[in-house]
Formats: sequence, structure tokens, C-alpha cells
Amino acid sequence: MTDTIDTPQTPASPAPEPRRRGRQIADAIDERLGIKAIQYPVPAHANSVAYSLGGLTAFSLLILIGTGIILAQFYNPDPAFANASVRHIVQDVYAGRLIRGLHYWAAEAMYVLAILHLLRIYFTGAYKRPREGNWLIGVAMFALTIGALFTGTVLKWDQEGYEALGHNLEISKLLGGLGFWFNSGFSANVPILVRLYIAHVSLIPMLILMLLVLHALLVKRHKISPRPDNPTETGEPFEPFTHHLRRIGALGLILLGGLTIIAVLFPPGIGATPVEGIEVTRPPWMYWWMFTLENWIGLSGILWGAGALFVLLVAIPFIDRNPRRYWKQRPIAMLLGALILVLLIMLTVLEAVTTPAQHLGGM
Amino acid sequence: MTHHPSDTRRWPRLALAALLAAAMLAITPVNAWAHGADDSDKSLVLVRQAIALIVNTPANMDAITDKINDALDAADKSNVNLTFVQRAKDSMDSNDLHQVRRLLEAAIGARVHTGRADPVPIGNALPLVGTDTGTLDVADPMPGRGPLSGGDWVLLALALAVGLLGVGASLQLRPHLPHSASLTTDAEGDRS
Repeated sequence: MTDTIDTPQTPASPAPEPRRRGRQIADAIDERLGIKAIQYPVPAHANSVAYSLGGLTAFSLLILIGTGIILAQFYNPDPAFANASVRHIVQDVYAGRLIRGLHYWAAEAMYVLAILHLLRIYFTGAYKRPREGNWLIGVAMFALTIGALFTGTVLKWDQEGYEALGHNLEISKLLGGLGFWFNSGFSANVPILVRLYIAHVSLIPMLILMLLVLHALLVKRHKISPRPDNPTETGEPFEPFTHHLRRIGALGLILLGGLTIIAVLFPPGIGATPVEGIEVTRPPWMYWWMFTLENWIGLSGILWGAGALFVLLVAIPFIDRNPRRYWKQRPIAMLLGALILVLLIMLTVLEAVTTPAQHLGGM
Repeated sequence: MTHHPSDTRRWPRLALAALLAAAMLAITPVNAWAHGADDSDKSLVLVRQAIALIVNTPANMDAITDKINDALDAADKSNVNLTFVQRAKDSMDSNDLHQVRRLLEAAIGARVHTGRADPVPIGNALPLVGTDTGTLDVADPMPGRGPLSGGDWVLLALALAVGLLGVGASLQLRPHLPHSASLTTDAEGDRS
């Protein structure tokens, strides 16, 4: 038996092209999530390397989160096992040495890129009205990055990490009531390593991500700052922000490749298991400038040095009222910035060439 | 709601004043620090410190000897076999730090670094709190890597490929900006 169904003849509609179908899907998602909002126009100079440093800092954060999630599966924050668990990651976990190396070097890259981004903002005067708020958010993110580096140093729980913690505990005493969180008596039944671990994997990344969203939203609101040598953006083409993301992705691949090569060739070691009451290691290089101050005036030198730098960073947009952004028109700001930079480099070099002194009291 | 024009000018100063006030609070010290470490009065702690000095700064024989002497003279000698500590002190003359370390580890019941025997139990372990290190035996530092393996070379090749892909893509996506020399005049004009 055959059934025939008379249906009205309609012209066969051609199958949608893949590109058009992709656009339909994108439109459907955009209708619900508004993703096309990130296609706002940005000037072409946003795609230069100097103006992509912030994006590359975020790319480093992405690598850190990815590798950090893997490391967290094998790391044991119990003081009795922490050092051994890091050794286990390196020796026994598949690709553990690479993942840890990538995490370590991505952290260094994030620190360096954040500084370069900050310097670019400073020397192009991009912190000026109306971007003061976003500058402060950036400074807060930089402070949190240093916090993540510090906690990461302690987590490996070797002599270097333990001495870093010792310095922090002593500084927290100098801070008075504000240093309560670092006081081991604050939560007497929990090892401080466990609390630092929670800060490293949860509190600090969460705060950085929250501020990053705010940072990006304010970049969109105030637009990417024009080049100081072309304040009116004359003759400069505009492109969607998604092109800027693609460019950051491309530069990020270079960063990822470079970091992987460094991680394979120079994986970080692990120091001896920690013993309290001795001070025999040199801190990581990013803290060297503060430790020169410590060698000169004692532990409070770290507090005063870091405090002065961050107070200055916070105050910059409110001190510098000169509306000009071109460097030739800001001689005082340029001189001050260069002087501070040279001072920090000199203090760093001094720590590198001197024998570390003992400053810690008993912990 | 209306804003007085001076309100918008005042907030940066108020924010700065608040920050300065917070900074003043922050620098109120509650405890002065001592220059130099406080010596422990526990022999167990001092023996561990001596082992750590052997591991971290083996060339500093004076510091190691001082720690061993301190361990022998400490007020609290519980959980330490002082015979081994004394033998370790005597062995310092031979400059054999492996032997000194082995004796010190035996003195506190730690896993002896030259052997595979289980540590001798000294007593029940206490729960770790605060800044307790949890260290009983001081493990040697572990270097970053040895010679490159075949897997390392594969990783290096892959990383190089990823990096080159990034170079190609970033060149493709590089911005085409107006020449900066032609813009200098505009910026100079901005000076007025």
C-alpha cells in the first residue's frame, strides 16, 4: 500500500550557509546574553604591544588559574606534608613539573607585565581625569598580585617560603591591629599555612577577578585613552574591541610558548623543609628592593618602603593636576617617575650583591 | 537631589585624607622587633636548626657548632638523645657533615638521611597549629631539573610552534597607525 499525501508545492528553500548559520547562532546568543556589547569600537593603537600589556597581564592570570586548578588537586596544605606534596607533584604527577613550572613563570610574567602596564599608563598620563578611579582599581589589583606572589612563595613550604612568612608575621606586628589576620593567634587551632592557602586559591583570585571586571567595564565606559601624541585620534581607524581581543590572543600565544620553553629549561626547584629560628635564604627577586631597606633600617624598612610606594601610587592622580598627557609637556612627572624607577632598580641590585642579614625574631 | 559644584572637587581630598588616616593607623606598632633570632630553650628545636644549617649553609661551621652547643646546654632537653648530640659535636672536628647530620637526626628520632630505616618514635605527635613547621627531618633541597629528556624536547618543539603561531597571528593583526612624526605637530598644538 502506498500513501500519497498531497501537499502544496512550495519552492525548496536552500540550506543555510555555514557562515550564515553561525551568525544566526551568535544572534540568538546575543539576544539573550548581550555578548555583542563587547564589539564597541576602539582606536587602532589599542592593538599595539604597549597598549596590549593589560590584556597580556590578564592572559597570564588565565594561565595561572588553569595551572593552579591542576596543582590544587595534588597540593596538601598540611604543614607536615606541604613540602613533600610539592615534591610529589614534580616527581610523580604526570606533567607535574611542567605545570608547576608554567605556574611559577606565569606568576613572574604577570608581575612584570603588570609593572610594564602601570608604567605605560603613567608615562602616557592615562590615569588622568576621568580615569582616576580605574587607576586606583589597577593599583589595588597590583597589590593583590603581590599578595598572590607572597602566598605562593610560602605555599611551597621550604626554608625560603617560611622565612618570607616570618617577615610577614613580624611586619604584621608593626601594623598593630591591622595586622591581625597574620597573627597566628587569630585562629589558634588552624595552621597559618592553611589560611594562606585559602587566600591564595580563593580570596585573592576572587578579588582580582572582581576588580578585573570593574576595570574592563570602566575601560569601556571611558574608552581606551588616546595616544598622547594624537589626542584627537586624527586619521586613526577604529576597530571592534573583539579585534583587540584577537590581537591579545595572538600575543598571548607568544607568551604561552615563551613561558613553556622557560618552564621546561628552568623549572623552579624546591628548598629544604623549613626549620624555625634561622634565616639563611634570599627572598624572591621582586622583594629585593624592600630587603635592602630592611638591611639598612630593620624590618620596619619593608613596611615604610612598600607603604610609601603604594601611598604615592594612590596619590598620583590627585597630585598631578597637569591636564597635559604628552611626555614633553610633563617634565616634573617624567623626572619623578624616572627617579623612583632608578631608585627601585638600584635597591634591587644592592640586595643582589650583598649577603642577606638576619632580622627575624623568634616566630 | 542637587550637587554643589564644590562637592565633586572635594571627594578626592576626602579620599586622600581617609587613606592617610588609615596609613597612620597602620603604622602604630604594638611590638618592637629584636635584631637577631631569639634562641630557643628547647634542645629539640636547636638540633633541628643545626640540621637545617647543615642543609642550607654547610660552609658556616661556626654557626653549626654554636647550635649544637646550644642544644647541649638548653634548659628543656626533652625528646632528645643527648648522647647522639654529644657525638655529633665530637664529629665536627672531622669535618664530616654527613656523619654530624646523621647523628643529629638520630638524636631527635628523625628519618636518618643516609639510611632507609623508619624514624624512631619519640612520642605522640602534637597537632600542628599557628606557624608550626611540621618539619622533623630536614629534606635536602630539590634542584629544578636534570638533563633534558625526550619528552622535554617534544614540549620545547610544541612551545616553539605555539610561539611562532602567535608571532604569525600577531603580525597579521598588527595595527596600522598614522605615522607618529606627522602627529607631533598636533600634540605640540595641544600645548596651547
